[in-house]
Amino acid sequence: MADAAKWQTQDAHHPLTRLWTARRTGGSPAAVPVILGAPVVFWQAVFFAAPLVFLVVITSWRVRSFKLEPAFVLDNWEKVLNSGPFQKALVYTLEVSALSAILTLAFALPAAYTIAFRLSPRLRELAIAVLVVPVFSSYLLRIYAWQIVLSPGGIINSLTRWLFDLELQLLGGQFSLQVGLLTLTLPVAVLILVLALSGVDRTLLEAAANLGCRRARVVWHVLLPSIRGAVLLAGSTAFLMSFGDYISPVFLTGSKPPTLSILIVDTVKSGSQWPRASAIGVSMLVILTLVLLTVGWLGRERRFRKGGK
Amino acid sequence: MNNAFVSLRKLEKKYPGHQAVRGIDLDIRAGEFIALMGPSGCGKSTTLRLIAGLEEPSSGEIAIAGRSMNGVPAFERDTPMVWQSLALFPFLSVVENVEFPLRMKKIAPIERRKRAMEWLDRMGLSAMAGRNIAQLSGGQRQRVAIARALVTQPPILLLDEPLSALDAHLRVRMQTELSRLHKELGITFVYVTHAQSEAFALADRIVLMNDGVIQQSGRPQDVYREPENAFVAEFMGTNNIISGKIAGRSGAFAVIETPLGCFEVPGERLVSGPASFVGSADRVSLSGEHSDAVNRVSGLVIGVEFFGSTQTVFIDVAGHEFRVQKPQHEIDALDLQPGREVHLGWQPAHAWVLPQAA
Repeated sequence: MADAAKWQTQDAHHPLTRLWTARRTGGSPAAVPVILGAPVVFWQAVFFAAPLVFLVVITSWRVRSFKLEPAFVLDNWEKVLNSGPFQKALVYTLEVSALSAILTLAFALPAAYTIAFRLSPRLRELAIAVLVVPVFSSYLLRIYAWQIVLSPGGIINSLTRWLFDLELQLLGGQFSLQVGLLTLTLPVAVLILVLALSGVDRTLLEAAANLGCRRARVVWHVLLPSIRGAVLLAGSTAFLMSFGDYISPVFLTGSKPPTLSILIVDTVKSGSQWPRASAIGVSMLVILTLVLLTVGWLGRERRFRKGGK
Repeated sequence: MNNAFVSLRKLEKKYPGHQAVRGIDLDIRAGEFIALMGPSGCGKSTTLRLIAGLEEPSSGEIAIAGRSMNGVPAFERDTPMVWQSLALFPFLSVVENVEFPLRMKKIAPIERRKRAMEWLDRMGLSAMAGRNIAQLSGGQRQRVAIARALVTQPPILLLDEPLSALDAHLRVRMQTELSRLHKELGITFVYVTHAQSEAFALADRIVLMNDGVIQQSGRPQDVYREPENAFVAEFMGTNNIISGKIAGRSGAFAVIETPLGCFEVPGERLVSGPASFVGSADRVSLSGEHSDAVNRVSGLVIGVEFFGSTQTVFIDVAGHEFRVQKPQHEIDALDLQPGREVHLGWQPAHAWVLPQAA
């Protein structure tokens, strides 16, 4: 402010200074959100919108002798959408993500309930801290840890060999993949649900009991409907995190069968097929958008009919 | 005993670090409208929650309809409650809220819809059945909460400060409505409130609590006119309490000697010892001229407070604050300015000696 005043007195005649001071002092209140919002809009435009447009544009380019050439062909889309590996990977990735979302909710709901309702305040804080810490540690590191635990020479197999003379094939299948994905999704889902459950009005639970609702049914009739939005959010977050994940499929299943993320990397590696990889990427974004729209639709406020029965 | 519908015996509730209820004995008759009253933290809400089974007593016994309720969980007691926050389910529509207790009783959908609609109709809300709770006004929500509590035709209704969230105008209307419901249904109402006006307007009997103990229980007019002890007299808010000791007798009355002078008070058995009496603010006369009443004091006006139809004048009588309540036109005629000297007087028969001297 002081600087602006100094400018004004010193070079008020300078046209550029006049422009600046006019903006600073004479701006309407409506200008404030524009000024505050500008960096975000700029950031989004440069680092999100522009690459996205480029990604879509590139799907119509051509590759000749390992070099990208601008063109306008629908060839890439045709090749990708009709290819067996893409279709298989799409179905497989959707299956894996859906299963991951279900497993995440199945583990996260009881855990969150226990944390929010059964623990003492001190233990609750501790539990939340324990949940948050892994979010800040390297995901890759955690997946390596699982590799060590699950591998044929790993901790579990050493135990089973010693106890039952048994060797388990833990690594390289749906089991190990889901274990890896849960590592990613569970802390986030539990946090979302704990926050939602902590916000539920306890008198509603008492009122339910008072009106004849058994304890077990309170969960179904009052608790779950109260946190419906959070359950959808946790489920869809788990789905989308699993859908785009690359690390767990690579390190815990050895890329077999490939997910869409792995397919993108493979497509680029084998013959610099950037346009086709982009087509896969754009398909994934379309699915992501569809999932978000569906969740938004499911999670909308229940609108009751106006007026009579 | 007893033909009491609800009976509490030596009821206690301890929490870590404090005791909310300290040995309550109370019998509530079937069909009675009883108000549990007292300042916040006096244990009235805890007592209500103990009856509903939302809290387990630390010791003592609760029986409803002759059956001991110890160990019976809340969902098995037929003791619906109306909360101050109403506790309506925001994710259910109006009619679904009213249906909730019927759904818990596994009543068929068509039947429960019919019964819920009957209650909404009775509360004048049938046009709102399909609405979201958030779309209703405060008074309408209140009526939904009452309909939801009564739809199962319970023998008792518990109300925990149900009207304190409403504005004054609506509160009076809801009081009338509750009174009407109580008469029509003939069931027991247990009503917790800190507001004297609500308790007086509604209840057949008042139970005044403080510090986890019942201080007095009786008809509103009896508790008002004949308080048991200084706490009750003080809580009524309109009593002038004067303490001293019995100095002798004057005919049918006892003479009590206090720092403010000697006064005649009723009481045939009073001969000696310390005693306190109250002069109700509405029974003390106020004038600019000297009073010729048997009991009289003089003091300086501190100020006047407007209470609607009546006004309260605060008077400093030798360091003791007196309250006098009079209709507005009488006060206006006196032209009371702070600092002006006024004279108070009252009949010996209008004083009340506290049976439990402090």
